[in-house]
Amino acid sequence: MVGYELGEQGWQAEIAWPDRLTAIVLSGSTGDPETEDRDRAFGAAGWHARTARDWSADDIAELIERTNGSAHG
Amino acid sequence: MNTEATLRIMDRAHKEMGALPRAEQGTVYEFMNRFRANPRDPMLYLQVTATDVRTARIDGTYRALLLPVGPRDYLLVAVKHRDEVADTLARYDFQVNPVTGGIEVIDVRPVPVSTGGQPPIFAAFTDAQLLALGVAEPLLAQIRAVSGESELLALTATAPQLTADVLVALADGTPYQEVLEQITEPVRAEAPVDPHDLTAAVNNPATQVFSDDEALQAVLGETFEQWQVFLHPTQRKLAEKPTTGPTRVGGGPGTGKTIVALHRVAHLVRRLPPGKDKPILLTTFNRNLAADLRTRLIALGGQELTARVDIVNIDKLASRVVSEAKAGTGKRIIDDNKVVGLWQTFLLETGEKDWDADFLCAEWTQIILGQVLNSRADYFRARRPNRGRSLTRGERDQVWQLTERFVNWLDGQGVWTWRQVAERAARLEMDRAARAATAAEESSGSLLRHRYRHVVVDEAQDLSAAHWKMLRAMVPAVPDDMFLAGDTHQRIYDNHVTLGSLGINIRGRSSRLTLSYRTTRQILAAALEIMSGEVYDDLDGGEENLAGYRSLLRGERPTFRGAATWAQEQDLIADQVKAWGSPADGSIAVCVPTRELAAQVTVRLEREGMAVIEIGPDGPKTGGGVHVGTMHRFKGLEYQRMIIAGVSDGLVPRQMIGQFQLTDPKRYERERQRDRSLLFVAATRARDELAVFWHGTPSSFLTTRLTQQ
Repeated sequence: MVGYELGEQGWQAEIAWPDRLTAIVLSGSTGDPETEDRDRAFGAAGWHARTARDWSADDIAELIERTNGSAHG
Repeated sequence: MNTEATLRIMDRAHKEMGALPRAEQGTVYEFMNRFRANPRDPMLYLQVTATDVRTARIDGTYRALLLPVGPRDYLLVAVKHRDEVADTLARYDFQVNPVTGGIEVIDVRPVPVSTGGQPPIFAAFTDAQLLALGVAEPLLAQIRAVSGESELLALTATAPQLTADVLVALADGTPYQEVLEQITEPVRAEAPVDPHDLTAAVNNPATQVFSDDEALQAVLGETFEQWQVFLHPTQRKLAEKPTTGPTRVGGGPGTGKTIVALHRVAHLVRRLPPGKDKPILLTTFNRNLAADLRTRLIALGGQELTARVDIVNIDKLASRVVSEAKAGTGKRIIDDNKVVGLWQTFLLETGEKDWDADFLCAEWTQIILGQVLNSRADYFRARRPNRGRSLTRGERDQVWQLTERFVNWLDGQGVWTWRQVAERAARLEMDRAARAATAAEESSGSLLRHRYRHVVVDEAQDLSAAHWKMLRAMVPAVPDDMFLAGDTHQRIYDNHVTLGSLGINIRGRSSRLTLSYRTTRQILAAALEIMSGEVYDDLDGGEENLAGYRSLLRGERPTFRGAATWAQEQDLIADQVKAWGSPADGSIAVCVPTRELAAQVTVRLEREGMAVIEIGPDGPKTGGGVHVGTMHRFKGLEYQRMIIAGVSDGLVPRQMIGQFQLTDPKRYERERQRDRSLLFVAATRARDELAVFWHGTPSSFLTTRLTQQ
């Protein structure tokens, strides 16, 4: 899903797989409290949310796989 | 040889002076001048008493009681009739409070012994516990004897401020830890306290004194009120504390947020380098409130100080910025409440059926204009807090295109909205800030700077997002840049903002005042009951409550009465005004939910031969008469006695918001909360007495605890 909004505060992810609680978020400027709050909000809701640079293609594939696996197993 | 001395006046001596006849007040003033010139002047008969206190002669009748706090440094602690001096000296004790570091004058007269046989109120606390909260030690014996509310209030009326605050909170059942955190900690001295160092103590902000001659002169002016000189120590700390960035002060009605904001402004002006410019902005929601701020700042700091401050309401500030830049010339500004109607017309004309006018209007004003989003890409990146419905990227694209067309459509008609003006002003100021930053980096010696050095905002809860963006850009992000006073419980316009998303970071710099100076405990209890069960925000995405909100004043229980019909309710109103003696001095007001009801109440009271003044958008037209107005008009006002009428089901909250209950539950919640706030604001305008009436079924905001008392 492109352009996901989390909760009442509308914390944004660029791309999200809500059923797998996995998301790619934009990198903000370091020390920006908005970015910190966003990451905390996603974390608190049980998401794996990282910036595109922090995810590798393998990471994502593996994460989705694992989340899938545990959901079914 | 220099004979001059310093003389400062303690707040309680100031109160005693205020109670003297006017001629005597002048005599006290002359006495002080003489004393400052030479305390050894034989005409003053300065005498040392058995305690540390000195007495001096003011005139044939009055004596001054003075405490020496250093060489040639005195504190005026009391002004007494000569017959009372001996008694006063025997009864008064002085100490440096080990918690606050301030000097306290303590009246240790015995409390009248209770006859009710009730158990002592403070039996559950040890002496050590009470002292740790900052209670004055010499009063412990009296505190132990208190067993009823009237004894408690008799004691707190003369006790030092912190002692009174702590005792009332404990008596109200506030948990010990909360009292410690909310009342004691905010006034705790920053450095360790030496109880024997009077010189340090007198310079401690917790000692409420003034020495300024201007302030002294003002004491003699009739309009001058206590608040203008003395702040509660908690308030003074907030007003004078250096901050590292944007700071917010919250607190219930009557807790002195505006007073703190005004003292903050005065404090900032006194630190400015000399000049003729106005580097400080003091702004608020509407014109009426801005005019009031100006009057009060002049009363507090004088004309010269006020001349360094730009005092203007927020929309006027925005339109000034826009017209300076020659933007929007020839366009007519339309009222924000007409914008939804325009969206409806636009959607009808364009045949667009996928989107709802209310939703688009709110999205446009709150997010796109509110966050000053210039491009589609900016809009895609924007966070949309509190919008109820989430949007995907594709949906955002559609909304963006529709708003672009809507703006062109408005433009074609030669109109724009106040929100657009605010957004344009914000953009202009953001450009200016960016250019100023570049110029500073190149150190090109350019004169281009931010518009202001400090920004102080009152009624912050009612400003919209674009206003905040504009204000943020008007002042560089440096220490002491922004100071915001406001209470979300009193928000009566639909401007929910999250300051963090607007570049204003108040985290860790937010505090709350809890002691009401306006209204009685009885009225506060009713007002808090009205607010029960509602959750309010802290302007930054979190929650805020009214915990600890309290008063030291006591009065009649508010009246709650229903009538069968509106006609009968109007009889109740007329009877109540008569029962209060129909004073025509502007001390009574009647507040109703709608303009129609206000007009009918006016007619009804005029038929009784009363002078009625309607409260317009700029406040009451004249001071006298019985004031009548809708709830919105009461923001910022206060009355000795208030009637709130028409608090019926279907009127409060407004019937029309029911339509959102199913279609847009978030909006329903917001609208309902806003109506609740209106009633809360109205109820807390009353200083001494409050009567609440309804016809038919009472409003759902009036709990059975209120209606069936």
